[in-house]
Amino acid sequence: MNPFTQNPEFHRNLWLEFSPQRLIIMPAVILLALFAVGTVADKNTLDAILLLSITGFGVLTIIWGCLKASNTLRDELSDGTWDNQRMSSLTPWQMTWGKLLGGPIYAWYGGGILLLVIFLASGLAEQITGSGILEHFFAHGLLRGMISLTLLALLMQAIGMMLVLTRWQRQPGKKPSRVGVIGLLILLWVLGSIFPRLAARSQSNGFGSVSNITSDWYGIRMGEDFMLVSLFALTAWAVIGLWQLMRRELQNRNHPWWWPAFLLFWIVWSAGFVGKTEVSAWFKFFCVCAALIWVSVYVLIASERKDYAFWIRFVAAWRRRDGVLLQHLLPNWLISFAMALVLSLAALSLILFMRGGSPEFFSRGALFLISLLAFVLRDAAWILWLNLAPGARRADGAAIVSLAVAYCLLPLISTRVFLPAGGFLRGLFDVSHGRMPESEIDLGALMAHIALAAVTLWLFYFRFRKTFAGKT
Amino acid sequence: MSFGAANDAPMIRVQQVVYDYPGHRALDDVSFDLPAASVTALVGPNGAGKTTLLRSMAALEEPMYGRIIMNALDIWEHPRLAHRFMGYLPDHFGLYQELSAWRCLLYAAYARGLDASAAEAAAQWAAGQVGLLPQLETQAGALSRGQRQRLALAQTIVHKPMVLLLDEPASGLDPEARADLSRLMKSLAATGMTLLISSHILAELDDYCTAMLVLEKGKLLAHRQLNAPEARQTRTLRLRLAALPSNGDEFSGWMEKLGWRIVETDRQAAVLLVEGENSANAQTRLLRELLAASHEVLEYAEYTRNLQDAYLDSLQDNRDKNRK
Repeated sequence: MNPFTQNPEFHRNLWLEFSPQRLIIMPAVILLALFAVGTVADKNTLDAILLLSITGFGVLTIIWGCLKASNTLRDELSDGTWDNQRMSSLTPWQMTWGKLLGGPIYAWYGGGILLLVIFLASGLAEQITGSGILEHFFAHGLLRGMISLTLLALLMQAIGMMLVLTRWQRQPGKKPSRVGVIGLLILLWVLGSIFPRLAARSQSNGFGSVSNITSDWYGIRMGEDFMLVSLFALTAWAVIGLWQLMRRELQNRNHPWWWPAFLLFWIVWSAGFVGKTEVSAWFKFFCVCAALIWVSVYVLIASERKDYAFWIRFVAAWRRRDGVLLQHLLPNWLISFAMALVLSLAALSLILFMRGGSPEFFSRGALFLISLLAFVLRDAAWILWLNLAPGARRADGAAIVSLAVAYCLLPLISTRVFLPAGGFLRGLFDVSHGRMPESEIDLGALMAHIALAAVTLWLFYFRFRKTFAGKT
Repeated sequence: MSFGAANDAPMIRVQQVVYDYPGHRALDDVSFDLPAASVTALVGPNGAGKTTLLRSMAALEEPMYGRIIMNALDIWEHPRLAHRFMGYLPDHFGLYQELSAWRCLLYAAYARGLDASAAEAAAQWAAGQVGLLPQLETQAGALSRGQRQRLALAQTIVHKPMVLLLDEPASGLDPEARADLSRLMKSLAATGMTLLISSHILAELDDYCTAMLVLEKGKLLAHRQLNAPEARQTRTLRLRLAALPSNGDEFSGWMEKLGWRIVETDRQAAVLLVEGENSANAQTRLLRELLAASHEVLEYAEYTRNLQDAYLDSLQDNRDKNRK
């Protein structure tokens, strides 16, 4: 079967990335680096080679591969070839994997060589100590480690591409910057803290140390396979996310189900680490879930399109009762908001109907949840209000500055200058610091939260009506 | 799914299309029909909404309101299907600089869904159409501006679209490349493609356009048919005499008896524009009569109003209408 007809996009990337010179250069440089390390290391040469190979894989496939993957999209967008791609007959799935695997294919070429080196060096080390290569392969988690590294690279590359597409869809026509990739490197650092022993190896057992990773998930002791499955699931979700964004770019109507499905996965996975089965633990469970989704509301509202052009399409689809288009346009932050609301209400219901824990804990918890709800409503309405301003160009920047002033500067000034009233003012922004309202004065702050949320909602509603009333 | 315009249906139907940018309406209730195999010039000042209209018609930018039907298919109901039978060349087109022209074309053919046997033939055909066969092994980045333009056009037509939308295809081209482009447009029109071409350089559209759409500030000012010379009812002639007859009314009556009406007079230059039957016989008869009547004719030629005149007329008509 002709590989070109299978996926022309992948094939085009092969053309661009591989030349006879480049095919030779990569293994030559790797071999030279390994040889240099071998000559420098006094003893434990195999250890040094393994360390270099794993680090090299990280640099080549995870960091450089991520840059290559995101650049493959950035270049299309900035060089003016994207319109042709959008008008092609390639399906979103073909485009997704053609770019995801094709863009960083040269990085994978180097990564593949390094994985082979890891495999051989690990086996060789084990042979010296007496056991066979395959025995070592399975007994010490070498296979698991190699799969983990591969998945991590794929995950980072998919997220890198998602960042570029998200940025593009939020501000079409504006060349996406590399700022997102910096964020991605921070994410890599976070992931590195979750899977610390995958990031580096310091012992002579290759990936043997990975097998020591365990965690409690819903009270069950999970082994290292759980982490591998988790990584696999996260990678799969990242690829699905990229595919959904690609569908949108290629003019396919999207369904809104993938995002809530991911959120469900995310909260079920994350909340598993809360543990225990007491009522207060269930309450905690719902609070953690709601808080996670509230965070996603902020992230999404900052990253999704919410300008005049978006709303006018949304309003037009609404007036036409065009269900398919409405589903396609439905913003994910709105879905997150609805889900977080449901979870918050579930947590509040627990407070009302299952009075199993300490009353003080629950009353504070209820205040916290209501405050959080008012908080998110207020901020979301504020961001949307700014984005609907006539001729708004830097609305998100203005939103970030105003919220930073509200969260950081005002509370600080109020506590220093306006004491004791400052305590009340500080309370208005307290939830942002993750604290629960603690005293009577916080009840006042709660009322103020609700009032502020109502005012900003009204402001947004007023501007929305003014903007779209009578538009045909 | 089957689609295809009925014989009497227009190939392109744009209905009440509205496109808004924040604080600015780029397309305001734009409607028109274009028949199959027509070549239409899309003209208008900068910022008139030409590019937005073309991108909306290419199913790349979704209008806020309105419908666009092409080949009996609502393109915003089925954008992916519509892309199969249309080609769009944007103003700022891009090429894969590091690929050879041949690979660019081959990739375009495969990406347009052609199978292995058809793709190579299509790439050859497209390269031949734009006269790029000698440069097929050259990297796209090493081609001249005109050759790059032709390569981009070849990529756009590689799947032999029924509708071709071109945004400023002649911008940045030298006169020779423009002449080549003009020839290419004629040959594509001859294959039955429906072309809509946006351009600032109206003179070059004169040769092959059958109609003209005039956009200004997002509104469609005019949709004029530009008849071929042989299809016109009347013919206009430009006469320059050594001196205009002293009795203008008498001369005018004499001309009308011969079947020609004076439509414009420039006394200082002794130039007349006269309109009459669109035939060679009538034209030669008038010349004979003028000479027989001892009028000294210095210049005698057919006068055609070009696209530029028609465009300026449309703008002027609209401004007059607004003043009233």
